[in-house]
Amino acid sequence: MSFIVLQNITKTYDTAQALNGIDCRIGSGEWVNIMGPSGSGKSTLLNILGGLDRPTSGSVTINDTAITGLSEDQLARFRRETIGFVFQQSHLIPYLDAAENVMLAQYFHSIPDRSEAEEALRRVGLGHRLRHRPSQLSGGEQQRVCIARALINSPALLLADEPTGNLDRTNTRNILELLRDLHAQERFTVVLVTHDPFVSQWAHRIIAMEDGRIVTDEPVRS
Amino acid sequence: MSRFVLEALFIGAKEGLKLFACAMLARSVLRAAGRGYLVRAVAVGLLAVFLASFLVMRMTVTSGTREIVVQMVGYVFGLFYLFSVGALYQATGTDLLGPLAKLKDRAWLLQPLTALITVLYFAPDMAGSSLYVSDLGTMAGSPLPVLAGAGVGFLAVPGGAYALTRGRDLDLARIFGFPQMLLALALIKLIAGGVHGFAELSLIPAVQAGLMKFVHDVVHQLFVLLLVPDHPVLTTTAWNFIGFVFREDAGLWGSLVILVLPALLFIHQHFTNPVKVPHTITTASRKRIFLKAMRDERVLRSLPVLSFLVCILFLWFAERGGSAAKLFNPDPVPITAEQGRALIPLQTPTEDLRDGKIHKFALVLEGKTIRLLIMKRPDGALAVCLDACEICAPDGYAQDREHVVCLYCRTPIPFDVVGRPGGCNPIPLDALVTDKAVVLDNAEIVEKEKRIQSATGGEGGGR
Repeated sequence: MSFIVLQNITKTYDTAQALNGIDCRIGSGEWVNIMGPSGSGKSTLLNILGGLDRPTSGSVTINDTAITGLSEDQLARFRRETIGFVFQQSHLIPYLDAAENVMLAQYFHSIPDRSEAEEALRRVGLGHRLRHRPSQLSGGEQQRVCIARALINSPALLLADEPTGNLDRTNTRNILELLRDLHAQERFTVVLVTHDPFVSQWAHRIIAMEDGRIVTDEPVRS
Repeated sequence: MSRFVLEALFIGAKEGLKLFACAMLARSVLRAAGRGYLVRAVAVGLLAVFLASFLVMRMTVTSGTREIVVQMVGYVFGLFYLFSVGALYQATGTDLLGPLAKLKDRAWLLQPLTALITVLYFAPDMAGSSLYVSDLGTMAGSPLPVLAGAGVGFLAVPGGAYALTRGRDLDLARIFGFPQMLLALALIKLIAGGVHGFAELSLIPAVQAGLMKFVHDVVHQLFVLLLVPDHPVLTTTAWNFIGFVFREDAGLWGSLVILVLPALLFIHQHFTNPVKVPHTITTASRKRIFLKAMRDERVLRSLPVLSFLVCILFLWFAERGGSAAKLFNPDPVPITAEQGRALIPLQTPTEDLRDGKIHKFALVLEGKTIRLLIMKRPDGALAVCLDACEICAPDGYAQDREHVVCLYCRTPIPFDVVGRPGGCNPIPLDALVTDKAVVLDNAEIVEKEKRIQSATGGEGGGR
């Protein structure tokens, strides 16, 4: 049973064809990395998966919900309840501490709970940084807060767009190890966009894109 | 003189000056109010804090305790600010004290209370500064910074004693009543309450952050009460407007209003309250009394409050501008391209591309001005990139120590990954680096420049 089903997705910006007939299925609990050169349509595809953008044609079904048919409000609710996002930019609120930044996601989902937020930060190895503001955290630590924020509401799907784009190799490895551990424990589905071949090897499966099309879709040999 | 010693001297001088100014102010106001007997209590409080600060220098303190000390500085500022607002309000004729007013004349209570308030005011700053000076000594691997800081601090003892005993009375009480003194003490703490040496002179950034968080929390609690985001009326469209409330600018302005509104209300109340002039005396005398009351009670006593407002308005935005100014963002140097190539010398009399700073160049190709960014990575290689990424508006990058920072989304990128493809990172160019110059291919620059367009609505990368 597929968790994500993409059928003939196209996306056109003015005259540019960003996505051109994407068909793909992703199973529940799978970790899929999307790779490709700049302009190949990776981020557009991720935005459509996350309900941040709508396709020009085609259908997207996530967890048996056809999100392309949802209204804006229904889509917002679906996003809040089903999807966690991690971007390259941390987008943390500078005057809130780490725990409060995680609580923001709870607030938009349902009810904030500081103890839960602190527990989530402990799980990502930031138990000693609960009350630190973003400016007092390193780039790698900020990204850990983002992961805690993305996972605090137990989403079924984690979407990550270049999550290690501004991290050095050590921090990249740390973040990926953390994601791997959390993924093994909670079995959420991961779709991660990256340029970095090192990052791509951590997935179960790699989808390569070029000019808005999927050119290869292969499992990663462990 | 090492940087550590210089910083310790500065900290000692700053704390000493604060102590001297506050002692002078307290003496004038207390004596003018007929409470000269409380000056001794101030002296006792100051001495206790002063001695304790030397003990703190020798203590081993956990990071948690340090955090508490730093937070205490901010809380004490808030406390004195609230006290001063209350006292100002009381001065406009409203009785806030109620039955507590009877305690104003109990010397047995006021003396220890004054000493306690003195300790409360000075202890967090002195403890924080002492710990910082102690750290400077550790970093320098020498006792010199501690000796320098403590030595300058010692000068505050005779200075403070002179101010409290035989100091020339500047007649500060003409301008400063009790509420104005509290406001001045709060302002002194705000301007000079930082306890991290050169890195943090004032409390403004901390107070800004605290107040912005307060505004944020108030809005949040309100929305929680309204059951947002599950409210049936507040749809996605409404959320787009609600988002404005959570903007950083909204917090900054909201916090400024919180800080200046009480002072503005005081000024308004102070100038609209009628001046009380006895009617039993002659007209000429009444006029003189009226003028004196106008000058002393309204104008002079308003000066500290007006000064507070001016200082806050200036510092609020100066400090914010200051944080942006820390970024190094050089003007692009114009270069020209010939025969399909652009050549940038590695070293000129004014510039060395390998000096650890970012260097920017501007090149006009096909009628467009394209900015380039070159810098040395920690591995020694030069990163040669466009001064823009594929996903943000093309505002470019600036340098913050060992990072370049996107001027649009503020993402910090460590030097060693600058020019990595994808996301918010300067778009890398395949430049040829010889032992004398960086050689760039015009066609590649034009081709990659097209990727910048995505954030401005056109086509390009990041899709």
